[in-house]
Amino acid sequence: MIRFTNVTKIFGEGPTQVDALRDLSLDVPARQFCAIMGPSGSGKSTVLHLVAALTKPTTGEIYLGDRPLSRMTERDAALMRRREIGFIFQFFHLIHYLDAEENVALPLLLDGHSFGAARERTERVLTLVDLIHRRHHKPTELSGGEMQRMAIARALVTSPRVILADEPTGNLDSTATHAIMRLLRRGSEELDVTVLMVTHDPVCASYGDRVVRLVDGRIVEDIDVSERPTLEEDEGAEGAVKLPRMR
Amino acid sequence: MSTDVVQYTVLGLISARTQGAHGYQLKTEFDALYGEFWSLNYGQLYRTLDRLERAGFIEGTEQFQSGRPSRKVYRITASGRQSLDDWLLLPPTYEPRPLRDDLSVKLLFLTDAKQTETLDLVRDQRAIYLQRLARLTKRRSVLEEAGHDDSFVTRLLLVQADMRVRADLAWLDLVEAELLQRTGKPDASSRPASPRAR
Repeated sequence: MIRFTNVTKIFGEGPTQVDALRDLSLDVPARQFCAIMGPSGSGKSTVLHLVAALTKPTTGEIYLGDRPLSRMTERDAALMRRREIGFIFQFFHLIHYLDAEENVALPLLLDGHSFGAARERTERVLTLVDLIHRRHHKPTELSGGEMQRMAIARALVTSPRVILADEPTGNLDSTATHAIMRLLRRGSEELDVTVLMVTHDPVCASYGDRVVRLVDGRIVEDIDVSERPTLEEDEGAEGAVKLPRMR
Repeated sequence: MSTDVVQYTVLGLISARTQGAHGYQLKTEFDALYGEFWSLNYGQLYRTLDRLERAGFIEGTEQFQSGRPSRKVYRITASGRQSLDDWLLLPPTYEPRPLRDDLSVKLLFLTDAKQTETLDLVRDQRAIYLQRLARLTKRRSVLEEAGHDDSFVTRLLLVQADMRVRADLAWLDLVEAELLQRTGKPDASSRPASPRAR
């Protein structure tokens, strides 16, 4: 679904030149949940910006599906961002004078859908992220975890093919982190979305199928973490998954 | 885990079951609680059960099952409960021993000449931690979706597990950063990065 072939990205030149990505090749198949980790300055966010065609590679090509992004006009790129990509950011980027329903419906309204048509989809994703009871609340009336749920609903409302998430739990505590990641995982599975997520938090990355680590613009590790334990493992034991209740 | 801790963990698990518990159930519960981080094999479990029974802390009764071998069901005794209560309130004596894992020991003896190989070891260790963490995360999701997340102790233990792995991984990041600084090459690895399956 997302493919990088020998991508190099250089910012600046001369003494201020920064090689953000060096000959990076990466293939993220459809419906994979791929986490990108690495120290700051390793090129993680550049990967997301390139997929969204917000910046162009210095050399190499990036494909979304089978379309090379270099052949896209600005207008096509803007349409692709609006219709095919959902964005989730660390600081939510919600509009504070709009309520949850309006925030979530916004990408559809911007794309010319009527409010009536948008409403049905909006309700569906708000239900999916368990926020339907807060539909008329403004972001400032919600907790950090709820704001991020609203942002996830907004990212999913257009039924995008790809979700790009940049430190989606960077601002949340441990309990909210797990809740958000479970939702993102479940939402992306239910809607068949490919996820590319930048994170510094291994707990967050552990919700993925795959962890790619970048150091200085190169992939140094590519780890398969997709193995899923199931309840069947413990089959045969009475109360198999019941944890003991300790005092 | 020291013998004492294993012993009291098993005793604690038995104490939580008024109907008694057999070996297989105890093993399953132990694995559900600690399985991602500590392993207790059947041999150790049955040795522990023997020891607890000889000390009079538990008593086992044979339970016959039609068509299958009989099994022993263990219940806690009054003196077992007393011993467990005493142990629970004993001030902690556990001392952390950071130099117990083999990577730490290897780092002590690896020389600069082997930095590339050391970097590979660090990265392999990270892959193992991440895979373990992913298994723990998925198990947590399975449990929570099955509605078994209501025990605050379970929740606290899971948070502790997260914090420990985060700390271990942060330390590996530091080791990697220092090694890279010494070699001056970001990709100073002896092998290319290819998808590493379990």
